[in-house]
Amino acid sequence: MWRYILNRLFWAVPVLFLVTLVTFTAMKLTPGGPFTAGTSGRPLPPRVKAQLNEIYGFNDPAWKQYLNYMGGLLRLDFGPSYKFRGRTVNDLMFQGGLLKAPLSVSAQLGLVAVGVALVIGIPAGIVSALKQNSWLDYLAMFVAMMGVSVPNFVLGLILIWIFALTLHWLPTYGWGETPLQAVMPALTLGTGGAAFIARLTRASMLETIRADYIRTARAKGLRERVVIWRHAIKNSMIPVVTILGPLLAAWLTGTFLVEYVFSIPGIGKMYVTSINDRDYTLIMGTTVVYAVALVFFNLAVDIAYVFIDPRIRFD
Amino acid sequence: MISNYRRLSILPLLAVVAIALVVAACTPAPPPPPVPTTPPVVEEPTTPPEVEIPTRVGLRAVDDFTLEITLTSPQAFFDSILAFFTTYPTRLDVINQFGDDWVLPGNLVGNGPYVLSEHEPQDHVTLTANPNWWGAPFTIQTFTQPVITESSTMLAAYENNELDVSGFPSAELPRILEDPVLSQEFHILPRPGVYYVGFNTNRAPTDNFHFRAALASSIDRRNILDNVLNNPWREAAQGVIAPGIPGYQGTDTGFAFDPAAAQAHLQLYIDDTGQTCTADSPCSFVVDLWFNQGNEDVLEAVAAGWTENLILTDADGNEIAAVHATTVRMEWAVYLETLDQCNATPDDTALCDYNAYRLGWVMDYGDANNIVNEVFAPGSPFQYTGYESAEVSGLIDQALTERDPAARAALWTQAEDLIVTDLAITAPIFFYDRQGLIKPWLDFEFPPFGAAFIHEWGFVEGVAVPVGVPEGMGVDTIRSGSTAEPPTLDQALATDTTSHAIINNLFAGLYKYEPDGSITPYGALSYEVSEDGTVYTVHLNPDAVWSDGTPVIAQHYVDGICRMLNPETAAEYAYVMYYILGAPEFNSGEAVECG
Amino acid sequence: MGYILEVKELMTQFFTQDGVVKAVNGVTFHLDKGETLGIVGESGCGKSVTVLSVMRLIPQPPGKIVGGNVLFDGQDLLKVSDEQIRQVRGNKISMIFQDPMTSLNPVLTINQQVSEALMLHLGMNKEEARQRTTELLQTVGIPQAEDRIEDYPHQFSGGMRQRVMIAMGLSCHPDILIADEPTTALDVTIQAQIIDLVKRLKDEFGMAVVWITHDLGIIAGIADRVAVMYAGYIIEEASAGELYKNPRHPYTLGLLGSVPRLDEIKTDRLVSIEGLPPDLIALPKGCPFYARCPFRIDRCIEENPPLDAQVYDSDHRAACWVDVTTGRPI
Repeated sequence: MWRYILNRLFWAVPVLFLVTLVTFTAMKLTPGGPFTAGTSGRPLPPRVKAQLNEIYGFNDPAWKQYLNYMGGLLRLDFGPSYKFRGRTVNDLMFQGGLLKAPLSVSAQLGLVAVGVALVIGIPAGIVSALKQNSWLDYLAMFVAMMGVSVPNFVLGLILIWIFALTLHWLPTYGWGETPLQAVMPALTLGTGGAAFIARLTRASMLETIRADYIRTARAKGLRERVVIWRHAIKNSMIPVVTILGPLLAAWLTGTFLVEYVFSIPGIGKMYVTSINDRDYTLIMGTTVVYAVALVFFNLAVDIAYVFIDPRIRFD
Repeated sequence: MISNYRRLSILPLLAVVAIALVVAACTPAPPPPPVPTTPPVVEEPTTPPEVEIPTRVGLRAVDDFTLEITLTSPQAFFDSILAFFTTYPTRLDVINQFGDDWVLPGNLVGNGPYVLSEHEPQDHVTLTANPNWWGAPFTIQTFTQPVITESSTMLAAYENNELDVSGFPSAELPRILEDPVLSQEFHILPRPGVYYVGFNTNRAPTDNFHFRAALASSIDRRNILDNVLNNPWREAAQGVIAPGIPGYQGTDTGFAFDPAAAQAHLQLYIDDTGQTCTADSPCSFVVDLWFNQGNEDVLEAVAAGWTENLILTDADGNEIAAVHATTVRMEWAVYLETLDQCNATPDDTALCDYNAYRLGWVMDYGDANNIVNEVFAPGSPFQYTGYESAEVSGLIDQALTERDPAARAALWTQAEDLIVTDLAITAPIFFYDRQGLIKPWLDFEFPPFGAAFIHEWGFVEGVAVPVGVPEGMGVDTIRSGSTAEPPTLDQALATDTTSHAIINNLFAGLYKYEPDGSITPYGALSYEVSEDGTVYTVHLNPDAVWSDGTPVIAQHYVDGICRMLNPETAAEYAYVMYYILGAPEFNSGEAVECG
Repeated sequence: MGYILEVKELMTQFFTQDGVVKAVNGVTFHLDKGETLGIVGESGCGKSVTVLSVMRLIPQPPGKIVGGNVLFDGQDLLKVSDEQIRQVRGNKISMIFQDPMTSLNPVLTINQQVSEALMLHLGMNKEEARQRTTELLQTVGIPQAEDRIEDYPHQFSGGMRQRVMIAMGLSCHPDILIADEPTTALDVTIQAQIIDLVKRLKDEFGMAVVWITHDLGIIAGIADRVAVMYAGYIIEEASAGELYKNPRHPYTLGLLGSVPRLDEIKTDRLVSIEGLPPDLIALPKGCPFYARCPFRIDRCIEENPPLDAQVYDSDHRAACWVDVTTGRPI
């Protein structure tokens, strides 16, 4: 198992290298540099532009800029931000520490959303499967269908309209001041996932409860509750866990919109604004952080398999 | 199963990378850049040819409370610049101690009414009253500026009473104007500035005055404001000097919307250029109009106006000549880069294949110099018309040194007439204003230039604040939404409204703008100008102290201006201080001392 | 002395989109204490559904027991509460299934799966159950049972898994063990081992066994009595020896013709009876075997013969209007 983990981590290195190379190339090919427009929204005087290009090493050939960047990256130095003068990318991405750094904020949002998705999705899927073809099943699957089809931001705006503008129950924006701020973003992000998980759980559960070993369990005289909880759920969760890794990854990208709509200072919002700002180093930094996070999530899910499905061993 | 899953999970990773690629792919490729030689050197418009290079920048701390500023020549508008943020004092000791981190809460030392107490990037900035404030006491103890990037979310937060001050998405304007509550909280405030179309004078057919005049006369500005922007209160612009600025001429300059006159100009252009246009072989003139994303509505209306109004017919009503406007929309950075490259190599016709472009200018201070000279002087880096005019340059030089306000305004007026009427290098469209939603319990004011002074705000007696609002709202706190994270809180580097909304309250300049556009003493008590008009002696307020309690002295102002001019700072607004003796040279890295 | 299990006129149907599948159509049989009853028939003849109905393990919906009685221990299992039937399942009557590969839960250890019934029915604690599980695994012939008790099913071979299933079935000393084709999925040598094992344990534990198979060859070696099923009916019932010597139903005759002898090398496919069993959704009014029967007479179209149409030696009965020894109607 350790060998497997080390192996995966080893292979992450060329993947990350490729990510930086592709991103860097894409940025260099993108017309319009970071110092074309001043932050005032006016053209930057040529003299200032020349000064900035000198300060940030833009006069070097592209390969040298890349090597310089990679050299810094090896020391975990993501370089200076181009938009936020005087701030480094490290400042922007990690400032605020464990609780308030953008990556941490996104992770908190992601976790709450995963929680929402699992807490809603799994029971809904199980109930649907157990009461197959009942009105409960139809209702749950109709809602799930809606949940899958309604785009995140539309749901977000609907929630704002209901809970902020009409009922005045929940705050509209921000993160970390009050738990109430988490409600709408987590629901927005989580319901899509909940719907997806509910459908997956239902399908998986339907398959599981027809399995021979469930009949075996019943033949032992076990109560239905025990049959479901002990024998069916863990088995039916295997496909759900399988999809959880890619889903978490999708959520990371999904948080872009949710963080944007609810103005949550996470890394998704930072990523979007850094692209708009042409803040090359911040784009690179957030991309690398994303890539690392994805590798990490994939690994974590792989490891989770071992615990849920004894048939899998990494030898 | 594992291998399957791994293949699946690489997809989102690729998606992340793909986003960067898509940005690259979706942005229209600019024409190939010119072969880089040396960095393009554009002569700064206001740098008079200096034979003798001074050895020191004209800044001096005569004593702790007397600041002396020497200009290259008498610049009569310079008092306006005393109220500009480029003159903020600076504590070099703090900057040296903390390096780039000097702008963080706890480190930053300012001389304004507030101190920086919280700054969480992408989330909010919070200012609290400066305990060492040396001015009059004030009501608002806390000022928070949360970052709400999505403007419809900001509007929702405002309607949910989470914000005192808010912007809004322009699509919501009709609803705001109809809403019984919001319409009362919607405010229009002056913000002098002009939105205009410039003409490329190096490319046919806009290289001809009559053709430009025809284009300028066939823009129905009123219709655009009333029906396209839904801003009927805004003033259509014929000149570039905004209302409220000395020299403003209203409809006495430029070209009004007049299709008949426009067609007459088009005929004159045809005659001028010796073309024959008949019903059998009608002439067709293509005008390429460039603009950046977000201006589709206005510029498509402008283009439509040109195409619809500029049709010539013969006596039988057969079309003999027509203008066809085509529009090219670009992303902002790409747009500016392309225009910039074009300005650097004006003869490159392949690169500069535009006839008209759009830009805007919001004024920094209350003198027409800021627009007529700094933007529209021949060779200015802020316009892309490529025009030359010794006459305009001469009038600008005269205006700069003219110390009588009325005479100076008259000179700006003459220069404006040349730019918009006689030469018609630009067709102004409308004048800007400042629009926002402000809760009824706030007693607010905005100066026409720069950001609000929050310590001068208060609360309206008798206006109740709804229950359940965030703590302090309506009592001693203001929350004002911002769509962007302030790019920097370093006063030498900040050039945007978001940063200035903060910095304006952390620092006090020599003078400050009042809502009526006049300037009043702030960090200074008074100033006097030498006989020849080149030396400004400013007497500082000896009561002024920094937020750490140390006195504000003249050297701090010298340090601030010198830091801004230092080429290593690469400050965007350094050019505003170029009227100071030796400043352009110092900023260009020549052997000139400052400090 | 009464029978330990008596099934009367059991009828089970499945309500599907295509129509009502009449899987079991009035099956009646009984089981004596310590007896081994073989139930034989082709796939889909209703033999598995019959025993699952006895245990009330028919998936419902779509299945439904529409009539009959299952008398066990003085009560009708079809009428007792869910709680009562659960106390019978795995305790008084236990069951082992055809495919040991899929009948064990892949995510639970062997110990967890065997101990479960012990703790539930015998009230053992975890440690006692574990101890007993080890003994049971030893009993069914799993080597190093002690070490393998925490293994997962996928770590066992097919034969070993079936032994685990048997251990589970025996765990509570049941009165009846129902074996639903327990050897079908195993290869021939393992089949023989499992059969021997069950035979041995049956005597050791003194239980009655219902052994379901489509393979008359297996039945010959294990059953005291045999019931042959076809299209949801028992069509012949006799002691094992009698059935083989003297089959009275054309279908049994056909099956016997298709039985490979255990000592033959298994190369040829089974000689099958020509034709297909009837559609259980649209059963004919008369004898369900009519279409395939070489002895058919007109009466067979009109009247479905009851099991006691022919009775010999009191316990040999056959549902046929024709005496196959003479080829004449009875």
